[in-house]
Amino acid sequence: MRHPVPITDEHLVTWLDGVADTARRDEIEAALAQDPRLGARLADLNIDTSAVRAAFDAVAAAAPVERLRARLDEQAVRTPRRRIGVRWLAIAAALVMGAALGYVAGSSDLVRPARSWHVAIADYQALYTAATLAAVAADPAKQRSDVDTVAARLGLPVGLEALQVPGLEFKRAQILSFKGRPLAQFAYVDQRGEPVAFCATPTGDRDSAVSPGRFRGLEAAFWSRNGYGFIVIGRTPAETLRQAAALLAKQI
Amino acid sequence: MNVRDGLDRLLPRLWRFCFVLSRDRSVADDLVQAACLRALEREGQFQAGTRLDRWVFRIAQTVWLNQLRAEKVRRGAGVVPLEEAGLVDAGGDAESNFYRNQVFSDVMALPEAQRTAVLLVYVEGYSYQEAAEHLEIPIGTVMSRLASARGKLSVRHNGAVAGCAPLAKRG
Repeated sequence: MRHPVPITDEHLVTWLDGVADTARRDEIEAALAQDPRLGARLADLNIDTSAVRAAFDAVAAAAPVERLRARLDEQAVRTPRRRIGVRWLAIAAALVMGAALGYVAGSSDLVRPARSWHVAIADYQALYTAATLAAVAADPAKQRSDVDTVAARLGLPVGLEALQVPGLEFKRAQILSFKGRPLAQFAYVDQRGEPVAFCATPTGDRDSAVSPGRFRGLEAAFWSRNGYGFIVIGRTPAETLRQAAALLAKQI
Repeated sequence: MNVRDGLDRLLPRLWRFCFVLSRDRSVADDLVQAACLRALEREGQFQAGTRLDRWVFRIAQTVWLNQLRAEKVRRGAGVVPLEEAGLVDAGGDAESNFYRNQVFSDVMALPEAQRTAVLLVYVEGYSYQEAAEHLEIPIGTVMSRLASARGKLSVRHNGAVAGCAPLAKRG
């Protein structure tokens, strides 16, 4: 059977996708009613597009978001320097305006990209030296009550026992805040007296396994579970931090 | 919303797009990184009010075509089953996981031009015209790539797991 206008596979695809214009749709449907071979061709082009979407939604859900975000953070920090020509004008203009108006405080937002909590912790941890925690005496009773207080604020059942890591001496627990969310910091020193922090904060991220990372020149290992993000960070060798992270991930 | 924060939210879909292009997890990681870097460097070129995702996907496509594809081809590219790629979602029963893996593998086995068109149109929801602009090809070429892809996917589904939904007439 001959059709007045040949119906191509591309026409059939527009029909299957529901985007054929009215005239074309009528033409195709009239032809389908007459020609069983056209129906067979249509069947050959028919797929379950919702199944394709579901399969690839699973791919997006499995993306290594933590790792990508860590790289993005590092880039966002470096990038403004490369664009110094354009940025400089903006910064200079902001400073001049700020000075003219009598305040300068807000202008730093123009040049500071959004930080992830990993980088915020790295910035904070970078200020710690071996001397910072040296004077903190280990008082188990105080440690226990501080850990309980921090755990309650964080909303995560963490006890002093679960925080014990061979090779790291637990020093103290304190509650910080990042973007309005509680951020727990558990401070340790390694065998050389170098400070190491184990931090946790609610992030809402999917579960992810322990991954190594480097933030602001500090070694780190981070992971996510049950909507909380965790990180172990310090100037300690990466392998030591990875082992500590693996143990803490098991214990908490 | 600045570009940096927009990129953060875009990471899962951007990585998926890069993985579909490259069929390689580590190349996808690098491609995401390169695309993000370029987007940050060109932040001033992004027009507020337009879609950041389309803009960044376009950047990733360009980086892929200009830099990474040749390198990937030199290294050799195999088809990566979903399980081996470590992309199996734990949710769902064994049968639906099997089916999903099959659909994934079939799409990933398509030639690059076809699987990219399938991703853009059927997963990302691009219109034919938008896909044509993204790929810098005529709209008719998008349609013929979709037709070729559908032909291959349909044959395999019919033969393998009967993934073809019963043909419903559209009104």
